[in-house]
This record gives sequence, C-alpha cells and structure tokens, in this order.
Amino acid sequence: MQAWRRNLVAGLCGGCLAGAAVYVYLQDAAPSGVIDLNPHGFAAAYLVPSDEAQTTITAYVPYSEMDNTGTLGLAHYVEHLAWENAFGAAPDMDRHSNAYTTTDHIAYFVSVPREDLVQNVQTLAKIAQPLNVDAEFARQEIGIIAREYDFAVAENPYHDIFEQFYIRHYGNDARARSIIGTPQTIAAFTYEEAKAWHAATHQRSAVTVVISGQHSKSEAEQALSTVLDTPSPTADPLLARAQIDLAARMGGIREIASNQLAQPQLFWGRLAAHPGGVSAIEAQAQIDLLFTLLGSTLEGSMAGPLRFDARIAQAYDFALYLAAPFQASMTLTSARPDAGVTLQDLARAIDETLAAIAEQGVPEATLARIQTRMLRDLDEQDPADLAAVFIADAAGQRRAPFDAAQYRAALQAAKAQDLTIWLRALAQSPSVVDLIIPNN
Amino acid sequence: MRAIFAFAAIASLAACLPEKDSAGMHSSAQGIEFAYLPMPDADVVSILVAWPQPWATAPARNRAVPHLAPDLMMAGGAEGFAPGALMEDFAYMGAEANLYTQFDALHGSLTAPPDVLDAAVAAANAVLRAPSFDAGWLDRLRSDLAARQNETNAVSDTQGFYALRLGMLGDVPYTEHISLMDTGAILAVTPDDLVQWHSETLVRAGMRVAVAGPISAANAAAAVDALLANLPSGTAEISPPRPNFAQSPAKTILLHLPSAQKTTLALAAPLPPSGTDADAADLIGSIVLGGDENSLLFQAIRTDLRASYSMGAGLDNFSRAARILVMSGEVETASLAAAKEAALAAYAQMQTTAIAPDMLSRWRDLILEGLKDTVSHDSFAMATGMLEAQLDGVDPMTVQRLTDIFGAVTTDAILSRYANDYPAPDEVWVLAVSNDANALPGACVITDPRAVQSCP
Repeated sequence: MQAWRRNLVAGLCGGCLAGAAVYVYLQDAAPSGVIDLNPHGFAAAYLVPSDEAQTTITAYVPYSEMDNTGTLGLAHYVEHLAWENAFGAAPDMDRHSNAYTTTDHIAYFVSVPREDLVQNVQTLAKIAQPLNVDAEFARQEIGIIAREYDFAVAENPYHDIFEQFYIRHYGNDARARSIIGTPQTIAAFTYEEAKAWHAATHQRSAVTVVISGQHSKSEAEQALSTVLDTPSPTADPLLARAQIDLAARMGGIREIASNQLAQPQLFWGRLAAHPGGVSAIEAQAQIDLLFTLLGSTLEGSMAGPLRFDARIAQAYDFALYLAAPFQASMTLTSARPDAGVTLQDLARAIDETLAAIAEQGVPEATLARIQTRMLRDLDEQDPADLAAVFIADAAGQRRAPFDAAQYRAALQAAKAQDLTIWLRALAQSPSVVDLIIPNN
Repeated sequence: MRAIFAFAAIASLAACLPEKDSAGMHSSAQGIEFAYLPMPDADVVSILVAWPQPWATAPARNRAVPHLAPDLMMAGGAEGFAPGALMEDFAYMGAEANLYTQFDALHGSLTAPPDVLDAAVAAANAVLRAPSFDAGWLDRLRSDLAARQNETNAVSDTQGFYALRLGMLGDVPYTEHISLMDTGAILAVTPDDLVQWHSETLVRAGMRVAVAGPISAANAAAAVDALLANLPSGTAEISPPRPNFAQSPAKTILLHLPSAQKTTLALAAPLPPSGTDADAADLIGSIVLGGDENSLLFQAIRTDLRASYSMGAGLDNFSRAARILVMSGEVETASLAAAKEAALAAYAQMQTTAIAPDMLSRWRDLILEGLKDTVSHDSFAMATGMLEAQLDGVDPMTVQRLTDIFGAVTTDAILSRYANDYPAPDEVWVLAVSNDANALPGACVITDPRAVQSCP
C-alpha cells in the first residue's frame, strides 16, 4: 500500500486545474465493506462498520497546499483555525480530536463514545462554517505553528534538501509546495488571508464524511441530517486533479554544498506517464506491485544490482508511487555511495540499472512471488482500516474510492508486461539528480 | 474392560493436556526455560529472546559494538544465506525477524505463521549461530551508522538529552553505551570486536525466552531448541549489575548552544523501577498529564500560556532500573521560564489533586478495549510482556492479569502513586536547550553537555 504513503512535501498548481473536467463525486457505489450514506449536503458520506467501542468521525476537505496560491503553508494554518472553529469552544474529556494537512487534502477527526455521535457530527461540521475564532487567538496560533516548525523541521538537515529536490523533481508543480512553510512565510500569515482561503475551500458541499463505528445506516444518516445548512457563497467547482506538466521538468545533475550533512549522498528521481489503456485501479495495483518488486533483492529488482550483487550503493530510501493520475514518481533519496564510488558513478549506475531491468522486462517468476506476498498481506488487513485508507486517498485525488475487492483483483490480474510498460516509461524519462557535497 | 481402559486413557490424556499446554514456565528438551502462552486465535507464533549484555557496562569496551553488530548480523548474511537473501525469504514467508540492543540487553524476535515456523526458525538460527560478519558489509554499516549518528548528535535536543543522562546517571560507561556520542568509536569497530561480542553475548547463560501464539507447548519447546541450537552455554552473568541513577541532587540546567535553531524544555522525574502493578497507574497518569489535547500539560502550556505546539509526557527508561517520567516540548524562548513553572505546576497537581473520574475512565476504558484484542490475537505483544516481566524479575504470567490490573486503577491509586512514589517538584531535573543564555533565570548555564557535572 505504499502508493498511499505520499510524500508530505509533495504538493497541483492552480493553473493546472484550469483545463480539468468538473468531477462528480457520487458517480460510483461505495466500496465493499462500506455503506454509502445519504450525504445530506456533504459531497459524500460513508459508514465504515467497525467493532471498535469508540466512534470515529472524519471530515476530508479535498483542498490543501497544492491548491493554495497564497502564502506558503497557509493550508496548514487554516487547518489549525478550522479545528479551533469546531472544537475550541470547550475541552471535552470524553473526546479526542485532531487534524492533519497533506499535499492534497486536509482531514479533521474526532473519536467519541458511540452514544455521542449526533453531537459530534454537528461539532465536526463546524470546520465548514465561516471562521469565527478570536482574532488574538488567530494571531497567537501563528506562534504555535512556528513551534510546530521547531518540533517537526528545525535542525533537520534533510528538510530543505528534500523540499528543493521535489521542486525540481515535480517540475515546479504545486505538489512540491511545502506544507509547513518556512519561518518567514509562517510569520507572514494573516487571519484575513486564512479566512478567505477557508471560505473558498471548506465548503460543506466539498467535504466527505466518514463515520466508523458500531452504528446502523439509519443512525448515521440521522446524525448527518441534524447538521444545519450553511451558505456557500464562494464555492468553487471541484475540479479533477490534473497531471503534472512533464515538459516543464528539466532533468540533469545539480551539486549542492551542505554544512549539515556528514556524508556525500544524492537524491535521484524519475517521473513518467503511462502510455494509456489502463484504469485508475489497475494503475494503482501495478505501481504497488512494482514498488515491492524493485525494492526486493530478487531478479529484476533495483536493490540486487546496486546493493547486493555489487558494492555501489551503501544505502538509499526507495519510493515509487502515483504522484498524479497515471503518472508515477520513482525516487532514490539519501543514496550513499559505497567506498571508492563517486556520487557521479552512483548516479550513472542507478540510470544504467533502471535501463537494464527495463530492457530485460519484469521476470514472470519474480512477479508471481511478489503477488503471493502482497495478496497475503492484503488479506490480513482489517477491512475497516483498508476502507479508511481508500477513502482518504480518494478525497485528496478527487475521485471515487477504490473498492477493496476490485483492488485485490487488479493485484492478482497484473501481468509482467503491465509492469514492464511502467518500467520502460520511467527508464525513458529524464533523471533529476541533486548531489549533496558536505563542506567538512 | 477394553472400554474402561479406553476411557481411563482418554481421561488421563484429558487431564494432562491442559497442564502440558497451559501457560507458564516450561522447559525444552535442551533444558531451555521459556515462558509460554497458548493463543489459538492468533495468526502468528512469536518467539522472543533477550540476552544480557555485560558489554554495556564493562569498562574499556567499544560502545558502538552492541549497536552495530545486530544490524550487521541481520543484513550481512549468515551460514547458508547470502546478504539480502535472508530478509527476502522472511518477507516471502510472511515472517519477521529483528535483532537489536535495548538498554543493557540484546533483544531478538521472530514472528511467523505456524506453517512456515520451522523454516523461519532454521534461518534465524543461522543468523544467531553463524553470522557472516562480512567485511564489506561491516565497512558499509560502520560508515552509514557513523554518518547518521553524526547528524543526530549535531541536533540540539540530542546534546541536551545527553547532558541530562550524564547528570542523572553519571559519567559512566553505560551513559556512553546508550548515547553513542563518540562516533569515532563506530568507525573503530573491528572484526575482532564483533567476534568477541558475539561469543560473549549470544550464549545460553542468562538469556530469557518467551513464546506465544497458536502452538502447543511441545512444538514451542521444539522451536525454542531449534532457534537456539548450538549456541554455547557461555559465562554471561545471569543478572548483571543494573545501571542506576547516580546519587546526584536534581539540577536546573540551560545548555547554551549558539547554533540551536529552537528552544527545548525537558523535565525528568526519576521513578521507581517497573515491574509492579503500579505500572498501570504510571501509564494512565502519564497520559492524563501529557497524552493529548485534554491533558494538563497541553492545557497549561499550549492552550493557556500559548508557548508550545505540544508539551507531552511519557515514561522512558535510561536502563531497566533507571526509569523516568519525561515532560518535553519546543517552547517559545521568551516563555521558557513561564513554561517551566507551568509544567512543574501541572506535575505538582498530579501529586495533590485526584484526576477527574471521567479522565481516568476514558483512558482506562480505551486501554481495556485495546486489551480485548491484544490478549487473544497479538502474540507479539503478549510475548513481549512475558519477556519484559522476566527481565524485571517478576512472574511472566502477569500478562494474563493485564485486564484486571488496568481495571483496578482508580483516581486514588494514581494520586497515591504520584504523591508517595514520585519525587517532589523540586526533585525534578529541568533541562533547557537554547541559543539564549539568559532564557532561564536561575539555571546553571553550560555550553558543553559534559560540563553538567560541574553544576550545583
């Protein structure tokens, strides 16, 4: 399921949305194991039956930093204020709530005793009501986010390097916008800007609500029906996510001097589109299989030639995921060369290894082994957890959630040549490479 | 007559089966004692082993070896397994194996579905008994660990917590063992060090073993024997000395690092060792103090003072004997002194005022709800509990009472624990790290973690 582990520093440009089609949410039935609810004014609503004693209610807003053209990091600031809008009035010992911001969506959730469902659906829905927090609180919250920056980013020697790499790797696409921002942009937030962006994005008609717990369909729908309607004067049409402009992506090697990193290393990336003839769910399954396969030490992997059959790469972090519809991102980050290997040698070896395994094609036997592993692992997952992942992912990508049974079938049906198509597309795309040279 | 004999045989069998397969301490054919818990509803069998590491406290040893060696054993191949082949085989089987140093012990774990347990055990035995210690992989891991540790050690928090450990434990070999600030030691690890460490550590003497899962006692015993086959008996001390707190009064320290990009506050209260039923009150108390947005620390320092993103509390161990309640977070520099006072006030409140019943019931009920599934399905968690209990020197079958233990926690029990067994607020260590030397009036200001010993 690594394809859902999208990079948090990745992020769509506003302009990219212009040509996209308006997406209609309720075009498909709910995924298996999930009950489709009357959304009562929300974009969609699902009940995920679970035997957990606590009920968890989640609201997914399909806008985030990739949709923000204002101050860098603003979506995250809005998340803080919208949470306060809903939950800040009074602490409730029986309630746990939190929120998070990703590149393509913001999520708010609350976990409560099952009998408190109605009250907390109403409370959670206030994230979509006009921001009405105390102005002084909003000003102070900028300081809180500065401390969050301290907590999550300050003194992390990799943070800036990753962010700068992804800007190149995504060809300046808005998916590369920093979610947390910088100390300077955080200090530049204003409540007025936050209120305007919140009004444009946190519309009830755009929000997907998921109720997970021991509830009947009628109980869940009744709870949703009690949410008072709020006007949506500035609602924008929700557009399908656009692809990354691959022509804007310039390959090549860049050298970056670092005072903080102790070891030479490189950041390497490819980004390629599928040539066509594959469905979204098939694309997802194929990329998930290819990720596991390339990361193994089996024939046809990247790790075999680079780390185990030869001493070229001492270590690296590998990722392969769908960065945009039908577009795959493949990265080797923090890749450190073995003794006697230069960074340039390592970059060349990665390119050559990818070219060689793409030329050879994915071995049938290797794929069969990987499919066995992944199908077993999928069958061991809690259906409620899996449904939650599919729904969260769909919210950010502005499409209907995948059906778990159909996803399993796509994993099982994938052929070696299907994966080879992706591999060859990646092999033909230009490499974006940052070489990190320590100063000391 | 035949029917009577048959009935007697069945009755006899029925009488002995529960005993043979009952939870408790068992002994294998090779004489290895192990804690056993049958869990018929679990999917995997978990076998956990801990070996004492006298190396961690012995003088004149390379402190990096116990950290580097387990990684090399897992990655660098073993008898019959090329580097990389082992992890691939485990992944294909749906099994997992880990080997790592924690405190003063080496921990090994193996989880596997019953139908592949024999193969997983055989592979894990090769790693334990005959690791390759491949020179090329040693080069790689030495260089990689040293680079990563250098980066970690450069972070201001890391230096601050090193000062705290030096202050609370003293400048003893064990402090360096758990801190690994000397990255030169990593690069100095030799193949001879690894061989010596392996021959001293991977031995039967002193090891503790726990098995849980869908497996009979007889099969568990056979798996234990196969997993640990051909390990030498060894001379490791069964109960090596446990590193404990130095007898030093609590200090308030500000580590002044001009390069620090943030200000961090940490408070540490030394606690009694774990291993009693009071552990449950400790856990729930720490969550109430600093576990979520309703906690005392969050309310005091984020909601009221507006000085931190999150000030949390948790239980941590320097060693099995030296345990702390730590409260920490990044704070606004100008509010550092006020944040310290607010944190101490929240801590003091736990010693003087019973927590709200609904706070207790929320967390106790959540834990009890989680335990319902854990006790029947999570063989790894239950085996971990049995292993930790053995290391604490208590009955490993305490894990079977977890629901009762947590169910018995009351607001009075938490209040009593904090009031009677936790140090007074003025006995809590306070550490700040900042680029502002004047940010915490009254603190002993140092510029090097090692100078903590000179603070009053």
